[in-house]
Amino acid sequence: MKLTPDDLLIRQALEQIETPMYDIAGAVREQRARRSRRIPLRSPQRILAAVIAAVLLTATAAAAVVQLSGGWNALFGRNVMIPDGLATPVRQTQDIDGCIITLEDAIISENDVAVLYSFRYADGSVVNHDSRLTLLGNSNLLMDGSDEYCMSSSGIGSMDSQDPSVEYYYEAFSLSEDPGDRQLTLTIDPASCMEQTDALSAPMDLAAIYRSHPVSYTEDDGGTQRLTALQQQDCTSAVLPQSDQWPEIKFAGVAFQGDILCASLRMPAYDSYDSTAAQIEALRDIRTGHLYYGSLHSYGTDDDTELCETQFEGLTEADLPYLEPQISYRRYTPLTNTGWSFSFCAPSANTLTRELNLTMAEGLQLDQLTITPLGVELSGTMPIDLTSDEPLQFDDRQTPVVTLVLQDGTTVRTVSHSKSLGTDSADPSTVEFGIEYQYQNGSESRRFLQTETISAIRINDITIPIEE
Amino acid sequence: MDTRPLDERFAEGGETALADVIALYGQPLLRYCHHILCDYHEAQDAVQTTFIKAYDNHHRFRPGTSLSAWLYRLAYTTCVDLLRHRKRQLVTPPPTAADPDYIGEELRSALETLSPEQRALVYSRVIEQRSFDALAVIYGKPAATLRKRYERARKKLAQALQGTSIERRNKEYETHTG
Repeated sequence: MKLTPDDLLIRQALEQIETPMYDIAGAVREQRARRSRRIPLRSPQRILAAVIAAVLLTATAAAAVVQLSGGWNALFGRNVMIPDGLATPVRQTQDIDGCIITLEDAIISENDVAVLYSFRYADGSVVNHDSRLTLLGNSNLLMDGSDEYCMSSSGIGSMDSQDPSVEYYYEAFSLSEDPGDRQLTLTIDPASCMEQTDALSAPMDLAAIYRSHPVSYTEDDGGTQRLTALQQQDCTSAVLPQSDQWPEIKFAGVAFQGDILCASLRMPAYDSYDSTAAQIEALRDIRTGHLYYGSLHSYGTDDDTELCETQFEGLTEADLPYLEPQISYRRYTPLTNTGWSFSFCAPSANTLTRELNLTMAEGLQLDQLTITPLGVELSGTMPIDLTSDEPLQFDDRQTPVVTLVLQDGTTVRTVSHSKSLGTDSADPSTVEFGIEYQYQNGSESRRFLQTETISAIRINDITIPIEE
Repeated sequence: MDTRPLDERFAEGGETALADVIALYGQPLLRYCHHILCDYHEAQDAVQTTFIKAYDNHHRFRPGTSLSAWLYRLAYTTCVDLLRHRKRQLVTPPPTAADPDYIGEELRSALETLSPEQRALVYSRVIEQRSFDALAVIYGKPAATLRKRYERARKKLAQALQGTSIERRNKEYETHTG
């Protein structure tokens, strides 16, 4: 490809953009495991960025919800609207090992239970900062002591702006039966904290290690095969930085997989409650100072350890004497030995469910409408192109626009926040879908509604009256 | 590198094939998303979402076609969706020392003169050096159309870079190297 001067200028500019390596496989694995909770996984830096955003958002927040927790403002905007009587103040606090969770408020409807809770340290210290994050365990909602009614949950976390010693969480649980006046129990698993170091240089003679027993992998080799091969190498000279503080982390060896250089660390199996972990962030060329970033790959082994391998393209055996691993460590430390449990009970607010038979543009068939105090859900089927090799996904342009008309004549805008596509439709040429909408107050804040105040719903240009 | 065995295994599904696909395409896709979104952390989200969508839809990938192109197309649409969503967000956290975006202010301003499609095209062409025929497979548009769009994007970005320290360094480099 012949590059013009403009191409060269642009290339030089774009080459300045550094994209640090990132454990994509680990993140995908964890996100898939948590997918039913639909809480997007974020990098630690991203969580902190969200904290900063929340600080900006609520710095000027007015106390729009006087009688309820300020967490509603922190999470859903300064103009969040909650009708009187819809949310139940719970205000139960439990201090476990100096970690305090308060279940602040709950909104209970015939279909859902939404809870808002806060976390703080008893000594008032900051919940999250640059090098340390607080990680709460999974939460669950039991009804009459059983978890069989909870079908799914979704949630978000944020920070109270004016007080970085408090973090708020909101979770909405979808239930299979009306939770009104039944005993509800919110459980939250034990908390831990994660501390991460900067990348540290690990001077070692990679060439000597490789020569002590040259190892070549095939793509199909799993963790145990890789580890068995690497154990033939002499890594006694490979002393990792701060090894006295991280004795469980060992340099495992260096190998090639075809023309890819693979450098590995060995560590305990991943556990976000109580473990240590590390990764080779990059290899530094001591001749030029250049940092080579690779792709991260983790392998479980038969002896319940993990091999964390970083793969580098374009490096050869001749480069090995000049490469110095750059290593970062993470420590997950338990904060509490037990979890939290809060029981509460309240009547449920009404929800509305309607069977529909509406055909929208592009063959979208709407079958059911559900309106709850938290939002609206539309479900139905959509046609799929069986000849297409493109991934199945919901195009934003297909999403119907939903607006509520209240009895006082005002309208409430909604935004779609979640779309799901099923794969088990009875008709192979269609797929089932569900779209969830939240009510908006202005452009920046969320609102909640008593369904009794709704007189009609508009789906695109179709108006459906809601009977008394 | 012959990726056909991996492509076939991916089409059949399974965790191992997914892990191998991530190992092969993960970092390049992360860089691609980073250039489109101009936000490293959103790129992390985009690349995660891309692989989850890919895994969920593995049966829709046809062995014999390009898995790389299929994944890049998926990543591109994921980035566009994220950008639409970003418009609706309340606050976009600004880059900070603790949360850098790894793009200088001058370069960010220049890149933001382009549309997401233009940023994707420029990156694919200038950094990955893909042919217009290869780009046609990814973006589902004729090669000639993409060539015209790329040329417009190139002109626009080059103009936006005029007078920046990046251009000055480029000129100094050219002077020193003759």
